[in-house]
Amino acid sequence: MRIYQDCQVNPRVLVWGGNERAWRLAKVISGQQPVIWAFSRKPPYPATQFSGQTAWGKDLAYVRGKAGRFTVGLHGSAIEEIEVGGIIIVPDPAGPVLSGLPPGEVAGCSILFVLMGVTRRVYTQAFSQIISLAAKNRVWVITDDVQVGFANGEALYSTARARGAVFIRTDRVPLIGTAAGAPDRFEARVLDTGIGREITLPYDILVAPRWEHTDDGLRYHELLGLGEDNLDSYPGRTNREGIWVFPDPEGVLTAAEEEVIIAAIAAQVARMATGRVRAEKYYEIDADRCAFCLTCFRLCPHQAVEFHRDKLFQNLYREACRIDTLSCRGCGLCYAECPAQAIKKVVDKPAPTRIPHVLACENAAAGLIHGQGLNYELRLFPCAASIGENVILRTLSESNRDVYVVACYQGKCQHEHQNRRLQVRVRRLNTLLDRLGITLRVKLLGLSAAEHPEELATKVGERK
Amino acid sequence: MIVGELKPVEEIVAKVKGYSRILVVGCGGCVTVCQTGGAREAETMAHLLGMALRDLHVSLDWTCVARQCEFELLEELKPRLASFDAILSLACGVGVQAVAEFFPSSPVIPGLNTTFMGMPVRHGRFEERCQACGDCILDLTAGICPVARCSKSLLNGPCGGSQNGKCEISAEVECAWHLIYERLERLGRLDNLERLVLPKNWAKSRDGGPRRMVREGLVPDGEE
Repeated sequence: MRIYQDCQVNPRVLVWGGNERAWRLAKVISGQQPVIWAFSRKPPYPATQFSGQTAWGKDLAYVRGKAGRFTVGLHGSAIEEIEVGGIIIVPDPAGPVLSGLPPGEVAGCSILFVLMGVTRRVYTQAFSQIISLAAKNRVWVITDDVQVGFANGEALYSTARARGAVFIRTDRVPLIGTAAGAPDRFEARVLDTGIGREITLPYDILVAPRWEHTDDGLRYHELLGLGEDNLDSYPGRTNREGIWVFPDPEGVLTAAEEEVIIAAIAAQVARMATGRVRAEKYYEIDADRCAFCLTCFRLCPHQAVEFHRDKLFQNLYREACRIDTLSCRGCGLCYAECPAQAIKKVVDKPAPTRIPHVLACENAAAGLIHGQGLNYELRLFPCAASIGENVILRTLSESNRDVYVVACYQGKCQHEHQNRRLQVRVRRLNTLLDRLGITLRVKLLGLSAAEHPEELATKVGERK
Repeated sequence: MIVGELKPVEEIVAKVKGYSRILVVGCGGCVTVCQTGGAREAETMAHLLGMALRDLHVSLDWTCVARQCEFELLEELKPRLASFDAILSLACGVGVQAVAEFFPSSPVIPGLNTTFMGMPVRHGRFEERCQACGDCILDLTAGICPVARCSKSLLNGPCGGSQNGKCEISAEVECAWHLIYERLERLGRLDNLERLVLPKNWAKSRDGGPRRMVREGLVPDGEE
């Protein structure tokens, strides 16, 4: 059983950005619901094709509220507040660009490209240069990772190699300087990990990336309360409901691919177009038990918790935290971490009939739900975040055997690295168990939905 | 708020040995906020002790009251106490003593070490801010307490041990007087430092013995 709540939302959307993507996105959304297109400067696109409101020459000052009811402060000569249901940030595609390219046609030279720690965007530019220069010159490319993850990337890489460009892979930054005893000759020394020794490459022209500063969107992250992984998720989804950041910060998408993203974001905000959204309710805070310690408020990876003052509250402060249904994604971190045990599941699953000894994030263990022929009891949680110390201890105590906890692999958590949080809980519990002379242990496993039941069985040592 | 930290678990086990029915009582006040003695921690402790003392057949249960330092709020424990022969209190020293006073015939064991009065500087990290000296001078020191935050509690600082903003006792301890200087400079009140602060009346602190505070206007004459 699931509980849903009908939430009233503001259908209006703010599109923030001064580039062509923002213009196209605002146009699409204006066909379905009210939209405000705003940016710090007036962009050079015809407003005639856009039917919504515009606001130029102001900067984002603050964002208050939650999904469906944001108040955005725009900073101009005075602060102007606008009410919107959703916010879409469209950063200018930014990143390093190649510098040092020969201005005209050159022939018979040694040209060295140093492409360390760069993104796909640099490679889209570099391959065409490498291919054309390699026809009449000797071209070396020192790189830590050849990036081909864009349209025709593989083909361009093959062509460059066929033209004679030599790619040297290394994990060390090359030493670049003049040749010993010959101050007019340049050379680079680099450890070639392919052959396992240092090589020296004399060169005439050095090409390397240079960072170009633009409006890269990063500066809005703190203001909007966004996490570190929000720059390139499809289709612009962030850790906060109601806030999207246009993906592809490097600008490698083709126009057609961009259209897909624009349509996908527009479809997401269209949920709010009617002014009502039906959202699932996962957890709620019992205000009478709430100690107002702010743990949930500080920790919520989706910023779904807000203060709520109400004279009816019976607690010490007549104030409590409240979970916003629309913003909550149900990871259960607040439930596991609340020191006052004031957070309750809205729908509590019936207690398992057999004592489990594997407690698993259902995202990590999705492949196991219907697993058969396994000789263990599994209990699923919405995320590693909700596998709290007490549920682990309860299971240890009841089962009197080692307990396995299963989280997503590093970087795969959908709720901002809750596998790391589970890791420190497990470490603390094992230290306490050890100091108390208890031989039982908690064992942390990484798993992904792609893995079969047999993988877990092998890991917990129960393979038949 | 009052910050307390969990006693070493081995010590707690040693203290509760010999009792066969133990009630772990959390406190919903400061120690809930500092995550060491609230409802959740009371349950954690009961599970841990239950496993550690499994062979001794000790029965354990846990509960939490809103604040252990109020007699009225301890009332709810009364009906349960007949079934327990000891209380493990996860409150600060004040709460433990209130429980002991309210239940004269029940042994009370402290589960926390009351550490200091402080605040969370970020989630899970607490720092001392006040030493209850009984005579506040924060107006002179730009809102930064030299009594609690200077290792020597100097009233006229800094001393020669201030190095690059850190105290000589540890590179992790900020020099309170360095902070005071920086903040006074920002406030344009560096002249505060030219005023010599005379020796403090420590009789208002612990040196004057156990303290008592009477809020005037609350108790009718003759009723005290």
